[in-house]
Amino acid sequence: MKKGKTGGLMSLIIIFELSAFGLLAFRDGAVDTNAFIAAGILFLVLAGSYALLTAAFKHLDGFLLVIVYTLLAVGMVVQYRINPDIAFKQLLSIAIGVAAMAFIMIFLRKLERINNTKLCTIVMVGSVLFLALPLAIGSEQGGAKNWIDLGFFSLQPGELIKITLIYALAVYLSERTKLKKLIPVGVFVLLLMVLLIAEKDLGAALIYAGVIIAMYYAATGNVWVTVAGIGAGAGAAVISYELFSHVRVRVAAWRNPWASYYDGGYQIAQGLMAIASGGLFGLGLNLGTPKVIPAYHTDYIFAVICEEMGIIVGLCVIALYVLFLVRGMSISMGSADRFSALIALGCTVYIALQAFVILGGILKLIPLTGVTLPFVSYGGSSVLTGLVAVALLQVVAAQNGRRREGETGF
Amino acid sequence: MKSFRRNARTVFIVALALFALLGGYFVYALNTYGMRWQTNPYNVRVQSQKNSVIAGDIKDRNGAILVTSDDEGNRVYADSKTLRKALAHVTGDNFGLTGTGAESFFANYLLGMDAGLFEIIGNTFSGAKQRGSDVVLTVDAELTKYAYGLLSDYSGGAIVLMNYKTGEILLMTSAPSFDPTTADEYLPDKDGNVKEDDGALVNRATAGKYTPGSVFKIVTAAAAIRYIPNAMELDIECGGPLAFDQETGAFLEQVKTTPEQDKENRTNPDFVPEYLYLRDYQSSYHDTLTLKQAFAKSCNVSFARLSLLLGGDKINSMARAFGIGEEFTFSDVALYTSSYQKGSNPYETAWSAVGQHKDVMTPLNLCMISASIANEGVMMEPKLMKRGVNSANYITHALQTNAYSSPLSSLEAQTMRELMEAVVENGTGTAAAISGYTVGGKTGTAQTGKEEDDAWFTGYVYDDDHPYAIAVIIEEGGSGGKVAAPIARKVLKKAIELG
Repeated sequence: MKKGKTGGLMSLIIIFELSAFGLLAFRDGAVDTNAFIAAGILFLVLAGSYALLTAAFKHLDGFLLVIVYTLLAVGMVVQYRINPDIAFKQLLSIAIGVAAMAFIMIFLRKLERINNTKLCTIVMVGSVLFLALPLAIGSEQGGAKNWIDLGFFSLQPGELIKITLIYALAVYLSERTKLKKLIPVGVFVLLLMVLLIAEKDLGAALIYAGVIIAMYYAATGNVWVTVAGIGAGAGAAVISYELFSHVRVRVAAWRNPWASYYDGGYQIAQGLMAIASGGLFGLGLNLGTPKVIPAYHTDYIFAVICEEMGIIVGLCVIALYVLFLVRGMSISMGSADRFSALIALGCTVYIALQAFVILGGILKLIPLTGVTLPFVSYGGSSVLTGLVAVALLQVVAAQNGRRREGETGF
Repeated sequence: MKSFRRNARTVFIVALALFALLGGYFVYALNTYGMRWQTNPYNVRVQSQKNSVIAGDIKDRNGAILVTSDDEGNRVYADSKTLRKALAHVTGDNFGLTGTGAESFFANYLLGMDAGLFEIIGNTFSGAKQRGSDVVLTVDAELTKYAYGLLSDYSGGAIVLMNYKTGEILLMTSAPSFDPTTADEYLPDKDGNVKEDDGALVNRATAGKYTPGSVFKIVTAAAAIRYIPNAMELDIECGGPLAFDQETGAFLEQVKTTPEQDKENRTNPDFVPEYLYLRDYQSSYHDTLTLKQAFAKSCNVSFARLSLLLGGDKINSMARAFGIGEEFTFSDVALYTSSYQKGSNPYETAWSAVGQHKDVMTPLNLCMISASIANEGVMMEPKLMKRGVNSANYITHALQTNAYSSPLSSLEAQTMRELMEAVVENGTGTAAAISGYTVGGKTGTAQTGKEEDDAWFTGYVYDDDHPYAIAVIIEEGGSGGKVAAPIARKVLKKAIELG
């Protein structure tokens, strides 16, 4: 990737971000200087890191970075419009996430270095203990018990474990394809799924399952086991429908949110009304009524985007995830070793699937399960995990670039 | 790595397909349901718009004002209480109780949400209180008032009349009705008590799911014409009740019961029936009838025999073609789904072929079926909004007729007209005849388990200048031919008079 190709795109995002914050600064008559401060910090973090990373990494996938930064910028604008305090917290998460991303890219030049079973075993044990933590000392939010409150900030282990899950699967699947040899990682994923269901975090369970199946199929090409896996997942869904009343409520709300308006359908109905009210071009930033939608700044941020910025922008957001998918998969398929390819594939499927699950839920295409919209929704754990996934993709992209350079003799 | 790339490509394609589905569904759903979601009474944005915008007028097709706003923005309804009640389900109310009336359904016009971007910006800067668009409906207020008056002698019912060439609804009225000016009495009072629901808020023309009875024979007859070769030449035997096996519901051809025997059996309290019987409703039997005669006399046994020849699946596909079982998503009308169920054995199929068993039909759907027969087999989408005119007198919405589907070929439609016109000429529906006009129709007397049967009539005036189709349901009115047909005649005649 030549430099400068994506620089123009990056400037467009900066212009969007600054003008949107400009609008928000003047919304109440008096000038809101905090809006300029937030815009300035976001500008420094995004444009600064973009400049530094493109300078430091010859083979950076600039498009991927710009896609992610666009989503982060759109998210920040909506966060600030809804609640400036929350926006500053999100800004801190973005800064930490971008720093973590740069850190990983700088210190993990060769992904193969972490491909060892011993490290993997430690990671797997640690992950299970970490994910079990909310059950012991966690707090319940929105029906799911998947948070740990650390006083000054709270943490969602289910988010961060997505990365270790992808890592463990890649370690095992890169060298072994026989089911017998996969038992350790099989036990690991089974424990994770049981914990997630115990914490009632069905959205995360769905994404874990999708990532596991996609990575297994890519590594082995074994159609039968894959189909059996999908079947087992469907069976588990049916069993949980029969077993848990909260699942039945969700399905009823999906089938007809208007009929069950006061009994679970409220959120879906409010989201649909918000989206329809926005129309093609939206009601205008700050001119909608997004706060009637539950979880407006987290899971339901897409409905707010559609209400105020219109269906056009909503479709653009969907298109950005499709572009992410295209870039991510091309990085994965351009990789020379299975381990890197699997890591890249896992990270791409995780982001794309999570976007699909929440967007499909909001649009009433599939039953709603509460997960965040990657990079856009408010949430430190979500933003950090997403950016770590981007870092891993960039590491693989850099490996690919160096290899191609060697091959063609540049 | 080669096989990995191949597998990864599969994963990629599946993921892309999911997103294609998502994007496609997004656009489709908003196109189809967007307006309903937006104008939903739960939508607080519409409520807040009401406070900042003076809502536009609702007028009938001749310009008569049905609802307007006073200087303070309060809604003012027509002076005549009868007119208010006759049109209540069409205009809707200002409290969102009838979610499908014009007040809710066309709220985006009435509240100026159809305004252009520049208009909104202009209003924002000038600070003027925005005025919404006027909505001109397709209905005729005078005709509606007249028809509602005819319903007032009965406990309940509905009448719909539409132009079968354009789909415009000229009349839609439902009884019992309510007065929109005092509709708030249906809201919970300050102690949380709710007025007893007397069903007045329901628009029976669109949401009333009635047992169709013999009007369903239109569907069975159309299926016979389509699927049985030379159906018009058929000799259908109907010398007495048909017997079915009590266990399996299978038809027992060899068991013959004469009408006299049957009458005796039925009056004998000690008689224990060996079989299930399908009888004619008025116990009128004939030797053999042609399809045309059977339709004109509305002979149950003949149609039961047709159902045995056709089988439930063919009747079902004809019903589907007429929109029965379809979830309609019309832009102007929220129409509930009618349904046909063929049943699990020949006995149930026979009853469902004559409109009993579990069949249900909405009056508007039935009216659309008659309309499609008169309109050479083309079913027009029902329309309620003729025009939207904004405060600058600019037309923001104009009616666009839409051929919704083609349930019949023009030849089939012509044959069906022959059948329906025979009903009015010399069959059960003679009370609907209008001298000087060709009227076709079908009566129905639906057994519902209530004290009196529901009386149905549906039909049309075959006339280029007055292309009207009608459906009338009178709850517990008794015989369709004696009660519903004369009402249909009066309403059609009034519609012709009014132009």
